[in-house]
Amino acid sequence: MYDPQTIRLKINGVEEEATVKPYATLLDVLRDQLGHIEVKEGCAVGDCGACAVFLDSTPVCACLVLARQADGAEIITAAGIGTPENLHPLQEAFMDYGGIQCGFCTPGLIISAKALLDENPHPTQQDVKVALSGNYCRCTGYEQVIEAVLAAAEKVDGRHG
Amino acid sequence: MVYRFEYYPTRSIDEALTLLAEHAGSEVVAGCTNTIVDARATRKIPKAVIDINRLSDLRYARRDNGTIRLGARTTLTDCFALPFLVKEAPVLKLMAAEFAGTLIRNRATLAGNIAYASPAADVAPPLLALSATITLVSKARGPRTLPLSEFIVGPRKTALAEDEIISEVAFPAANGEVKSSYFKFALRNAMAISLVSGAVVLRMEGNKIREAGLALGAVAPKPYRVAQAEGMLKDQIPTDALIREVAKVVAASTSPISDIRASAEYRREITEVMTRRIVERALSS
Repeated sequence: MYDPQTIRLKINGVEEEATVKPYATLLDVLRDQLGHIEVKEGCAVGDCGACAVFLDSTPVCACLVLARQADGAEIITAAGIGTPENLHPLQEAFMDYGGIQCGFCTPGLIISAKALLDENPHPTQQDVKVALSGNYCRCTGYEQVIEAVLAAAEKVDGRHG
Repeated sequence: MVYRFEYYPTRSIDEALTLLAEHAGSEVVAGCTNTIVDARATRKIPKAVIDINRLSDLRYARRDNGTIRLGARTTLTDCFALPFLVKEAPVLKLMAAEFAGTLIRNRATLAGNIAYASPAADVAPPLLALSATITLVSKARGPRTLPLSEFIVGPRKTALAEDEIISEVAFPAANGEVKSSYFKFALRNAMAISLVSGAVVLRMEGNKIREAGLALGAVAPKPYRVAQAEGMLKDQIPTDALIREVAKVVAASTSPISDIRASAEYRREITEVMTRRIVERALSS
């Protein structure tokens, strides 16, 4: 019963394997088995968005995906959209605008913000609020986060324009 | 880990139906947005989950003569991402825009929200107002189709048999001008459980309402159509007086609970005000 099985994931461009229980979530596997600790466990029931990742280009809560459902999928975490040497404009803007205090919600916010900018390069303040409404932040009061996303949008747009 | 279950991926409906027939106490999953939450809370832990998330035969949204057919894998995000569906059923888009948040909408399905049968299921009022039907299929008995209003039996109770899978949600295509609107009233705008939600779908003939669908959620043991109000609107050229009368009848039809989120009186009051507004909003759209 509950025999583990090996799944393959491409995480931030790198092929990885994990042997997982049938009931393990993608969050359990990314964080505890494979060490991608930028994927945070907040509520683990889909309310807080701290574990958000791209699953085959779609932003989802990793806590509500079974690891085996993701077998063969491509995962992008917040660590996969920029590097310390070459930060994504969103990552830069979160620092510049103080969109970070304790930092726990930041990886999830970065994923949701990236999903927004991929779809809508010219978001209004209201668009940003709606896009981030599934991500909780208990420190910043959201004001600086929203400013950061709007600033990053201008930068991303400038880069492509 | 406080819960355990087996996991079975599937490649065809037939395979899923066979697994379901063989494994008593298993649950069919797609987005898993309720299943994992309930398992973690130890409210309901299935023996096994049967994953239909990769079944291409349940992934479709099409018009078939006079009927809109949505495969069981249709997600909340599809309600505003598929231009065809937005055009055919804008009321679903209005609902989906207020359903949880993007991360959940990308995984949660219309069929899953219906199967869970919460009294506050946000998917139910617009689909009820659209006169939706639901198709269930089992290995032993094949498919059967029933009105959504009969499928949802009570709180967390449906007509789904242990060996059945929801295969499709369908509703009549527009066929002429359709005016619709939706409201969700909750304590915050996102990630919220409805205090009251409601939808109205008016199939028009000039200024006259040819057919009306009006349904509520979260104010009774199950989401339901308000047949009396629908009858009052049918074949009428609506006036302010009629709309006020309808709103009163709709509020009187509710049997809400008082809980931590709101009192029964408050829910009833909100129902009357919001019903009036959505009928007005639909007519002026």
